[in-house]
This record gives sequence, structure tokens and C-alpha cells, in this order.
Amino acid sequence: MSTGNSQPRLIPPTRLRVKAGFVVSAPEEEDKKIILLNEGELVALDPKANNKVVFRIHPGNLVGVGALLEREPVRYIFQATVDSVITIINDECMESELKSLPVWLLAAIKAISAKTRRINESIRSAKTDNPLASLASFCKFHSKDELLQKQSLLQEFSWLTKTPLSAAIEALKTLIRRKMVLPQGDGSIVTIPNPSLLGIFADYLKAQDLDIPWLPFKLSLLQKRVLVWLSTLEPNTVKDGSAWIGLFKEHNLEVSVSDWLEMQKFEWFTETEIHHFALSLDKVNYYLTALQYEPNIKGTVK
Amino acid sequence: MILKEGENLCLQGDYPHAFYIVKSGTLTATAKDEQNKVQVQNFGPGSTFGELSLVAGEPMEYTIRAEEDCEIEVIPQSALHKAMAEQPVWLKSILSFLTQRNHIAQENKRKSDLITAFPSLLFVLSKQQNKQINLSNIQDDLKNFSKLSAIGTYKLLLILQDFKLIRLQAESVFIENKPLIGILYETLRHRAIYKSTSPNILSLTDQSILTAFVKTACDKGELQPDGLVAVNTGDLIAQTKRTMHGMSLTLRNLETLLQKRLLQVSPQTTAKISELPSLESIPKIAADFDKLLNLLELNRIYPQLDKKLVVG
Repeated sequence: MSTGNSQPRLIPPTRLRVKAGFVVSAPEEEDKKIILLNEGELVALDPKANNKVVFRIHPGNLVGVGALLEREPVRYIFQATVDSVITIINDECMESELKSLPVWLLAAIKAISAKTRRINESIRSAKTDNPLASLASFCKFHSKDELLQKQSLLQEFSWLTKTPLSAAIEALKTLIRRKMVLPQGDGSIVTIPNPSLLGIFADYLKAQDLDIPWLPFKLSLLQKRVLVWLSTLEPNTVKDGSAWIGLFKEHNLEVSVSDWLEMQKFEWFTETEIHHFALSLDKVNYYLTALQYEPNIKGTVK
Repeated sequence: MILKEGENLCLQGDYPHAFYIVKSGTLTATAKDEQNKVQVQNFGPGSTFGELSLVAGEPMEYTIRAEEDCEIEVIPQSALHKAMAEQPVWLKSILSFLTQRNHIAQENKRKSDLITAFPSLLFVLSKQQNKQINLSNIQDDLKNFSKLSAIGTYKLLLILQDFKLIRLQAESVFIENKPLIGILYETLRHRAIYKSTSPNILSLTDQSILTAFVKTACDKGELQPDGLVAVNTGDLIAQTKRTMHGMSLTLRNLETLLQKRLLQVSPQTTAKISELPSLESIPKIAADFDKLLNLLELNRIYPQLDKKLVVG
């Protein structure tokens, strides 16, 4: 028969008086516990460094929270240096205490712990969300057709971005499949035939990750024709808007004012002074390269 | 509390000193980073947020807006104080320990982000074709390699500026010494990949000898047809004595520098160093002057790097 008592039973912590030299906790112990030092002094000894003193614990301080709450491994031996008084909070005691807490407080404690764990994990984890985009960005900095040792390239990339080597290898295979990186001889050497294409590819991947349209693949037929014609002009040609539109018309490119305004978002022109626009051949070539290598970028190249 | 669709619960940077539990409805949390890029997160029924605002009085990380009518339980700080008063003292210690540990983790992450991204910045700068680069391009590249924030990149650039490797100019970065940036990158790469000290890191004796060479060359150096700068061995010996507080330059303490070809016997000889009769038998000693200056500068700044990166 139930007693009807719904209050959880509280298991109190253990208060101990220990002599100098007493080991209060050691890494090999299975029972995890929090030790609160009430009086005296404890030292943390590193068993992997000949029991070297790592730090000292003074009254009011506690150790073992990570071990008990997060199941983190205990790294040190905790030993009393003088006769001390400690409070030991073990699993049962903590569990009973946590059960007695208001639900929201328990949730807040768990949320803080989880947040700390996530931060610590992010310190150790890869520094890139998309190894392929990152490797493409890395490769764009290498010279055209330079002979690169595949292994050192991967090692260097992996070191810079903290990407696991296995993920870096997979990313490189993808670039090779897309013919953006070419293996030479027995495959231990690779070359990059068009480094700027890799930068363009990285931009394409970023747009995909962000789920935003990538403008080079959104051009209308007229815009493509304008692009090709612009690529034949001298760099930095400067004209005002109406002169540009007039020039397009002279070359049978029926560009209206609204077409012209829409073209501004492609950054083929930079405004040098009020209403004057200079041709940005770098940007025009960027778009042209993207269109020329569309199958490579989209991964449909054979 | 009831929040109507479209209403904001709090703004990023507010100090509500409260913890929130979503009872019903959906809220969107948006946070702008320093580049004004927005991160989005959704909170549905059962979600909680504001724990560090409640416990440590920290500002809210997000602006939180109701996507539909929501019911939210708000736990104010007074409730926390009341609850803690009913709990044993050690529980308060644990809570403060957890908060402190979170702050330490955040600080460690800040330092680790800078330290990890530093080689990437050197890599990007050493590969530039132009001396002047758009700051936002560098920030984008660093984001690709290291997820480093724009402010983080700027902090790293300030460190390089302190070392006179670059100069920050409004929206652009001017590279002052690209070869040294390249050598510094190679030195860090060598340490990371081969787990050993790079040959660019010189002993104090070698540094002193090279410093003596530089001083001698500045006073009495001759530019050779091969582009190297040569000094009379006798002048170098005398300068070394002055620079190294009376220490005599010998073939033995020149050996490492000759082997690394940082210094060269001039005119060149096919004889091995051990076969040379004496230092005085060598008429001149030559070196690539710019390379020596960069190496000496590298050895000056290298020991300061870790401290600079950790302090930020």
C-alpha cells in the first residue's frame, strides 16, 4: 500500500574529517563525486606527471562537478595536505537533491551544462561546415598548373581548417571528379588548371548552403548576350547609364532601362561618379567562367 | 505570460534577468553578428532559454519574437533567489561553478578561435598577388577556413600590424612584408605538420652572428654580381667580438649557418667546411641580405606570438 508521501527522500551529503595525506578522490575510482572543501587544504596531483601538484584547493572551493554532472573523466588525484574537513556529494545525494529542485531550475542547470559542453566541443571540432567549399577556397590560392604533392596539400588543408583528413580526401575526390583539380602521373601529384574557377565554385556552394539563388546561373538569354559582348570591351570603360544603353542598342542588344537597372546587381559595372559606370571586367570574367564551366560547377561534367 | 504573434519577447543585448519556458506556440530567435549576418533558431513548446540571464545576469544572445500566439512561463531572478534559499549551500556553489565553467569555456573558445585561425590568415596574405587587399575579402576567406568572425580577423590583423607586417587602411589591408609573412607561415606549418622546430628558428648564437653580419654589411658590405652581400671575414670577426661581448667567431660556430646556406663562403669553394684550414683563410662571407633581415625579424617576433594571440 502506498504511504501517499510524494516528497522525494533527500539523501544528505557526507561530511568527513580527513588526516593530512588522505586521498579523497582518484581517477580510477568508479564512483564519481563532488568534493566541497570546508576546512584545510587539498592538492590536485597529476598521476601522468609523476604526481606533480597541478593546483591547490582552498576552503569554499569544490571539485568533481564535471565528473558527476557531465561524466567527464577525472584527471587528478585529490589529496589533503593538512587535516581537513570535506563534504562529499555522491551520485545518490546529487540525484535526490536534483529531484527536489523546481523543474525550471533543473532545466536551467542542464541548459548551462549543455551550453558549456557545446562550446568545448566546438573548440575541438572542424572549423568549417562545408569541407568541399573550404577546400575549393584553399585551392584557389595555388598557382595555375603548379605541381602539388597531394598528401601535403591535404595535410596542410586539414591543419588549417581542422577538417578530419578523411573528409579532406573525400572533398579532394569531388574536385577531381569535377575536373577542377587534375591528378598527374600516379596520382601523388595534382595540379589546378584554373584556380579562379575554384573560388567561383566555393561561392556557388556557399549560395547553395544558404539556399539563396546564385546569380551567374540565373541570367536571361539577353543578359548572357550582354555579358559576352561586354567581355570584348576594354577594361574600365566608363560611360553614363544612357550611353551604355545606347551602346548596347548599337550592337543589337535591346536593353531597356529596367534591364539596365537589373544588371546593376551583377556588379558588372561600378559607379565611379554620379551616374557614371565603369566596366568591371573582373566581374564579367567571373560570370563568364561560371557559365563556361557550369557542368563542372554543378557536377554534371563527364 | 501570453505573447501575441509578431510581438518581441526581448531584444538581443537586453538584460531581463529571467529564464523562459515555452508552454505553447513557436518563437524565432535571431542574433546579428558584428557583420550584421543573422543567425536564426526556433523555440517550440518545451524549449527553454535565458538560463545565463537568470543565473549570471548576462545579456540575451537573441532577439526573440513570437511567430504565433505563445504562452511562456517567465522565471524571474527573485524566484531563483527564493529557490536557492531553500536549498543547501553547496548547491549554490555548484551553480556558480557551472556558470564560471561556462565563462571559462567561452574565453577558451575566443582564444582558441584566434590561435587556430592565425595560420589561415598568414596563408591568405602570403598568397595575395596585390599589396593592397580588400579587408572584407580577407574576412570572408577567414570565415571559410576558420569560421572566424570579422572582429576576430580584425584582431589578428592588428597583431600583424603591431609586428609591422601589414598596415590597416580603412577598408583595406596593405601588405608591408610579404616574404616575412610567408616565412612565418612556413615556420608554423613546419611545427604543426612535422612536430618539430622549423629550421627558420635560430639559436641565440646564430642570431648574434647574423646580427653581426648585418651590422658589418651595413657599414662595409659589398654587393656581389650574384645579388648577395659580402663582407670581409676579418671585419665580421671584429664585429662579432663587439656584438657577442668578446666571443670569438670560429669556423665551428659558423658551421650551422654555412650548412643552412644562410651564410656562404666567398668566393665559393667546393671544399667542405671541415676541410677549410681556418676562418681567416676565407676571404669573404656572403649572404642574401633581405633574407637575413627577415629571418632575424622572424626570430624576434616568433617568441612573442603566443602571448599576443592569447591576450588577443
